[in-house]
Amino acid sequence: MSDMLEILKRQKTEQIRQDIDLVLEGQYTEAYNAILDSYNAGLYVGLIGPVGAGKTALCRKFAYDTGRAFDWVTFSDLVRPSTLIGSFDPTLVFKYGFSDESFSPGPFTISALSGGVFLANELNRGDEYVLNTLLDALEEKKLYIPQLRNWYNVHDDFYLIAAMNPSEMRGTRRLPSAVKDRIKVWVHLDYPSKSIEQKIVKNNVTEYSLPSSLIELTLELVSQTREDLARVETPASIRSSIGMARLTAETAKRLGSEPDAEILAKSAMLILPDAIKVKPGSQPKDYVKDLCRRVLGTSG
Amino acid sequence: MASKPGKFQFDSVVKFTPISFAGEFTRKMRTIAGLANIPSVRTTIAIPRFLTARYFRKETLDPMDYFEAAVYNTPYEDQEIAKKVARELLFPKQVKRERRQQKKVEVEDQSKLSGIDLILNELDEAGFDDLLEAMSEEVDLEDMLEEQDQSWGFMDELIESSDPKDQARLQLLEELNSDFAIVQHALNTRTLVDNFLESELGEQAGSWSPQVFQPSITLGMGDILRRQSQMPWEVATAMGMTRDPGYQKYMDDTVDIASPEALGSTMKYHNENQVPLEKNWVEKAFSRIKTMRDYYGLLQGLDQYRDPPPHAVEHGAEHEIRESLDIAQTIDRQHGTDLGDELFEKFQEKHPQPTLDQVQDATYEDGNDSWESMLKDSVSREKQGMDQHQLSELAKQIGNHKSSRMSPKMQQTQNSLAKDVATENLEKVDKMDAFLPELDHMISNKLIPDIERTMNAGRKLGVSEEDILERYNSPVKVLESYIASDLKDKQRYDSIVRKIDNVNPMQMNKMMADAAKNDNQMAMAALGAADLGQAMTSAQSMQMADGSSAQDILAQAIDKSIGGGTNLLKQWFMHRRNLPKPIKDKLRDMMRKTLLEIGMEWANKGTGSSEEGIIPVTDTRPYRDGDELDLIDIEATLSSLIMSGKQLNQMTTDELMVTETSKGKTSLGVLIDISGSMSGQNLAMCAVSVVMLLGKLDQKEVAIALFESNTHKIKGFEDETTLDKVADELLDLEARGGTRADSALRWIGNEFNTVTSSDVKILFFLSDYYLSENTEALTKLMEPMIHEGVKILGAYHGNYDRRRMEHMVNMMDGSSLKITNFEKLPESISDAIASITE
Repeated sequence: MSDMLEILKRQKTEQIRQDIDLVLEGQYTEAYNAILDSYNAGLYVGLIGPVGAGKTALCRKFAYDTGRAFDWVTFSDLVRPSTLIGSFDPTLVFKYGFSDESFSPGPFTISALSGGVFLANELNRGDEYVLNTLLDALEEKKLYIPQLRNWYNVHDDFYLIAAMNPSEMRGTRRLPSAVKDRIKVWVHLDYPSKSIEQKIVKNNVTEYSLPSSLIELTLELVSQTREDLARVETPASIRSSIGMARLTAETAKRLGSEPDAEILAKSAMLILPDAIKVKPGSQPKDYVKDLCRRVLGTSG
Repeated sequence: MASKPGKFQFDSVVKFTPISFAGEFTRKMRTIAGLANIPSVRTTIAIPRFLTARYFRKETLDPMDYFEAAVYNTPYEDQEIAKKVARELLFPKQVKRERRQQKKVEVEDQSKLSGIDLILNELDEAGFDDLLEAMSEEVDLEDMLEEQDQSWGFMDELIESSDPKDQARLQLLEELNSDFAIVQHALNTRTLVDNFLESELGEQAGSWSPQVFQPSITLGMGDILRRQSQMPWEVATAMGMTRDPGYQKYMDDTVDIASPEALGSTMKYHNENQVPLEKNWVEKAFSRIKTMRDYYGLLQGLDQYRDPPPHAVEHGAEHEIRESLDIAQTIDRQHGTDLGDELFEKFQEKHPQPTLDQVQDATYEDGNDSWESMLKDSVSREKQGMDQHQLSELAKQIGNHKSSRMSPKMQQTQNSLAKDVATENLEKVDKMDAFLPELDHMISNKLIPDIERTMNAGRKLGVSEEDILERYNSPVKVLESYIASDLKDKQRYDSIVRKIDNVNPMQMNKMMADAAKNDNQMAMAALGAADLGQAMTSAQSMQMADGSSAQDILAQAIDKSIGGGTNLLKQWFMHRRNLPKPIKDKLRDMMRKTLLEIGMEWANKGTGSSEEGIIPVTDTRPYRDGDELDLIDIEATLSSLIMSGKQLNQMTTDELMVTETSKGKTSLGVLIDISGSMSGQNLAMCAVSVVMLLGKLDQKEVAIALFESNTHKIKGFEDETTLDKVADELLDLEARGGTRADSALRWIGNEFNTVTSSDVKILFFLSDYYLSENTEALTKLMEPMIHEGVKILGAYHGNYDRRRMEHMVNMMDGSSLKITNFEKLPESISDAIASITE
């Protein structure tokens, strides 16, 4: 146990690595500026776009640039008000009752009271009852913790960004109008253009020397999943492009050969079937195999 | 209040302040019907706040800022409408021009500003006077907007200018897909335009068209071309056009290392920009084209036809004939050339005595006679000195070869050769025991040896003629011979019955009489499995040797060990209407048992089981560290406390019970069309599929109905039922003529809308889509389901109405599934479920 505590202490970090090194160009510049303007105007922002379009990375960048802590919660059926506000340790409640001692604050409370940037990810997957707990903090700049029967002032610098994909039907709900009316600015983020995505991929594989032509092919695979609306329900994200590029480069390195279409196809077969969602009636592996044959001339 | 609501004129400069724009935009939005969110006062306030923030950041504002403020401050469902409204307000000239181009008759009436006061009053009431006043003092945008509006004038100036540089600017804007950048970014000067073009060139490097170069050079952007170019053809063309001293070296390197496609593109970009390529370079580039694949790559880059280098054709003919012929045929189709012929001739030249593998690789329809004679020669060469086993393999290699480049005549020649070799193979079999298995092996590979020669070969080894003929004869004839000889071998009967589709009455009467005479119940069971209806009819008037009713004995004799359970169900569905009631009742129990057995066999294959449905179960479990107090189930906790014999004040976390809910819920609605076109076999597989679904899924996640002119509801999502009950219903299922889907669709729509509240709703709809309802009626029936987010998996089989199927699939954002073989229906449904649950 003491070893574990030692490890925890040693590995503790304030700095969370960005999962994607974003390129601030094109739509990302526009969205970033819109967030900046909305923040300065005191308006909360909602980012709309498919999974993996770079919404989280953009928010993280905004928080980093403005020197604020970044917290987030990804909403789902399982997110309860206590996930946001905080929960009480039952054993301590028996001892102290509902008090500061038994309370461990949730990410929303921490962000709101300390003036951080809070990302409410997949907001439209949240239950209305849960979303309503955000309202007082957004509108009245005050936070109520019912068990403590206390109001708390929200820090002036606190800023909320919502993110969601309204075109995703599964598990989503209509956003309650009260919440929607508090989020005034809605910015669309789609998958980036090929040239920007190419730069993003390049930025994320800097330790390898991957030929441009192979990055092109990687992006072609990904872009075909985004165009094939008839067969693909959830296409591949930027993370998939980066993942394939990195795996291809690493495999080639291990084999001591030049990265080629054959290795890329193998990487695609490992990554894409779990990264995309095909429509009922076909299997992801078969789809990716066929895709690789079409684009790369081989399925590895 | 110092705001200045400017006058909006459709064909002149549009003058807005952030406040008047917000007012006008909101007013216009409110006049539009069907908005998901009517703009509130908050929106009207948010727009000038957003614009003010942007002004302080940029120290400038342009129409695009106004446009973005309007769109961003509108909820996402209405943003497309917001774009249209904002565009009409901000770019009236452009809109008007586009409308004129589209020959639309009228432009909208000029908007009036009467709504502005209303909005401003609302703002006053909301207590934002101070803010608005401050804004109007600090942000005087009128001059700036007027300046931006002059962009159109500047664009006209460029269009009318005869200066080659201005023409180059316009051409480059077009090539970079930025035709309206001048207006969108208020580029009022040539310097601003040139700066924009420079930045776009950098942005789009790697995908420049050949037409980008000339205007860029005219504008003195050669340096940028050289610096930013990425692809080899871009780099080479940029260097060539700017007379870069490193050009020659770069071209020398390129010709040595670039891919064939890059070489082709380099030629194309040079040609289209009239940059001469050295003859030497072109020759060297062509000398790099070693294979037909290289050649195809070159043509892809070049984008026009060039004759292939002879060495590529030679290489293809010699080493890679199959792939090369594929490539040649693709090129022939694209360019109307005869490369395939050339390649095939070259192949013949290079391979005067090709092996069978080579001949099969060189299958070429236009080669026809030559190919056939090559095939014959190669087979005759290959079979020299082969033993029996090798001949068997050779026969299969010949017979199983398939190619899209084979004509029917070539196919015939190939089949005849395969048959010859298969016969020779049997003639070489030297052991009696090995003869029939080898004959079966050939027949199962669709190689039918010559009957006379096979009989002779078999005779020499002492193989029974009957056994050989059984392989060639019609299965009914064989069955007849078995019964006539009073055979009582279950395995043989089973094997032959599986090959029989139906038996004519005369044959059946004769066979039934023989079976009854010999009291051969196994033979009677075989007759029942072959054609239950006909067997019952024949048995009706016959008696067994002991005088008992042949029909009763037949009913007792039938079981699934002959012909299999699926066949038994098929016989039931085909003949049950003609069965006498006592016999029908007697058979029903066996059929129910068989149906449940087969259905459950399917249910236990692949994913899922009756214990684990798609729908998760909410359960309670003991509290663990990290669980939230919200999840504590008071009732279960108290029970746990009582069970542990403790009092309330003695409670520890061990007694706490929490509710656990698992992942998302799924509902599967199944509608299967069993109209008149359904045969007994198909009906049997539908029944099996239904049982399988009920066995596989949790009761609450599946609703099933079968339909024809009536709808047979098997169960709704909330209905409790038993498999026995369902099996009974299925065994009585009657398919009538028509195919009316309306009541079935209405029923399942209602089930989806009101009974189940799952997150994922899938409708499995199997039909031939020759439905009585027209597309309009179908649309109406599907609308409630679309509203509920139900997606369709449209399955079809045999001949089907493609248009209607696609209509349903498109409307419900689903996908289609072809059922190629009805025997595989349970498997297809099973796969569909697996893909849904994944």
